[in-house]
Amino acid sequence: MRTTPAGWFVMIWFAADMVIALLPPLYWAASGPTPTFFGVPMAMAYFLCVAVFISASVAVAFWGERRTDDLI
Amino acid sequence: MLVTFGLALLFMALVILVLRRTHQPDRSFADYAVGGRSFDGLYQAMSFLNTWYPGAIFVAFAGLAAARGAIAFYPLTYSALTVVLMYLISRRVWIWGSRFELCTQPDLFALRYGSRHIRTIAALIGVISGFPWLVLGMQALGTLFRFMSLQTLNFDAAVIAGVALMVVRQFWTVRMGMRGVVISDMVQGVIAYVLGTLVILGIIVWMRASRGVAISDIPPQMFDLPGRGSKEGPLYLFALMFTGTLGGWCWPSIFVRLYTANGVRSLKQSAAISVPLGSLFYASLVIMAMMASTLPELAKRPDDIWFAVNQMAGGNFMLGIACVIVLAASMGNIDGGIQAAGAQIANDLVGNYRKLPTAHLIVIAKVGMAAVTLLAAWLACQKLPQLFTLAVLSYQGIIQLAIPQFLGIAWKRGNLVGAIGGMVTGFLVAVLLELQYSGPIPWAYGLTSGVVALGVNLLIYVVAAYAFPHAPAERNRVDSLFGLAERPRTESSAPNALA
Repeated sequence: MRTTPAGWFVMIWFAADMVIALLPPLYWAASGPTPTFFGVPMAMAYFLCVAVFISASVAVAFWGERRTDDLI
Repeated sequence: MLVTFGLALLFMALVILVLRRTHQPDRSFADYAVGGRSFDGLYQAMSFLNTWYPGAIFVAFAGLAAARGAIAFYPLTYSALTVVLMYLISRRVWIWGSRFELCTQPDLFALRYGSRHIRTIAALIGVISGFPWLVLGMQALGTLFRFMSLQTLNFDAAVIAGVALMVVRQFWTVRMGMRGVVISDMVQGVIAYVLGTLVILGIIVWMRASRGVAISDIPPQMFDLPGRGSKEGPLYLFALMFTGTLGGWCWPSIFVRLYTANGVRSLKQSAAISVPLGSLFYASLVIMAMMASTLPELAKRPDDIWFAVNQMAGGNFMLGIACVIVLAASMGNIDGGIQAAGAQIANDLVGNYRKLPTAHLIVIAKVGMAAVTLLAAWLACQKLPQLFTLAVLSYQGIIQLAIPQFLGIAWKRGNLVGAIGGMVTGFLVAVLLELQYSGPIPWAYGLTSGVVALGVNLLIYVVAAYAFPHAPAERNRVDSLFGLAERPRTESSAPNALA
């Protein structure tokens, strides 16, 4: 991945993926059925949001690199 | 029984038909071991998913979700994160693989650290660690066959039937090598994860509409995660997710997917496809299992929940579909494990210290695969009470490959002394801690043996990197290696020193 502004943006997003997925205080706080997030209990909502966040980072990274033809 | 076995036979016939129609002779060992590096992003994505999510998740992890609730979501996180790691290492690994005709994970270790011996060590760890999972995968087919027979077969007979089916299936894996594995992964992946997700979503709709089950019916304690004050320890969940994230690309059968792609673009495209598809599939499975656990008929049968809820929703036809989905997922995982073991036996163990012609390597790989299949099949039919413990232990051991692998790809300074010293010490520390504590370690706040051992492994690797700096020739070689992956389309300008 090149060190363009877009490349840095993706790298920061990937680092954020690691933090929100692995930082223990975040999942400690998410433990339990309440509060709910659009009717979904917090523990479930936390894991689903992490999955969406990571999926988006990979999709944006691929889309960005394809657009700038940074892939071989 | 006619319906369930009939659907399974139809599915097997479809896979075998596709394999027969796509058979090509292998011109080189790379053709046999990595499918000639010829697969696009979609094939890569399905191949990854079919190796990553085994059939056992429909039993073990759906059962965990039904019994323990939200903690069963943790593979959702590490499965997505491990693909992020793949995205980051894909460029160097693929370019080095293509330029130097690398066929296995230990090939990469040998190239990066300039040593044949590390290839042997990495291969031994990979083959030995993967073997218990192969046996477990075959045993899991016993549960599948018990349901396919509408519970008329006892468990021993069901295991033998499942193993016999898998042995027959391996005829094509042995014959066609990696090309056959990836092509069949596409068929199996569509059935297991695309049809599988549709079935899971359908079951959720059925439970909501016909049985009135809602997420709010799930007992509150099912949403508790191990944290401060839990018996496992506050860092237990972190250890599970961290181990899974790093461990994903330590398994030889997963790592070799990096070589089967036809370019870096396909690898990255496969990441963009597999993360959302895999996440949707797995999240749906866990939610379905948690909801199904509230049905009174299923409350006491967490491990049977996938088969039982399908049978409740659609009778024997849906039970048959559920069985085919599990069979499709199981075949991909077992195939991948057997193929990787055979390739490593030929390339990294037998062929490491003497130059063998391609034809001999392919024969050795085929014999190795056949031997691994038969040995795993025999053990799967035995009573082995310690097998699951051994499988858990092997996971803590194999992630010790992560330090020399990921740091070797990302950091020029790492050297052979640190790689071998850290990996071997880490493996031994993991084994000793696992034998001592067998699970989360109390004095480490719930960290598992593998994570503690990784710390030791990392320390040795970093200290060795500074204590024993590269000699000038080795520094030049490593610089050239990294330079090769920095510049697009530099294959023709690769320095000869790398060869």
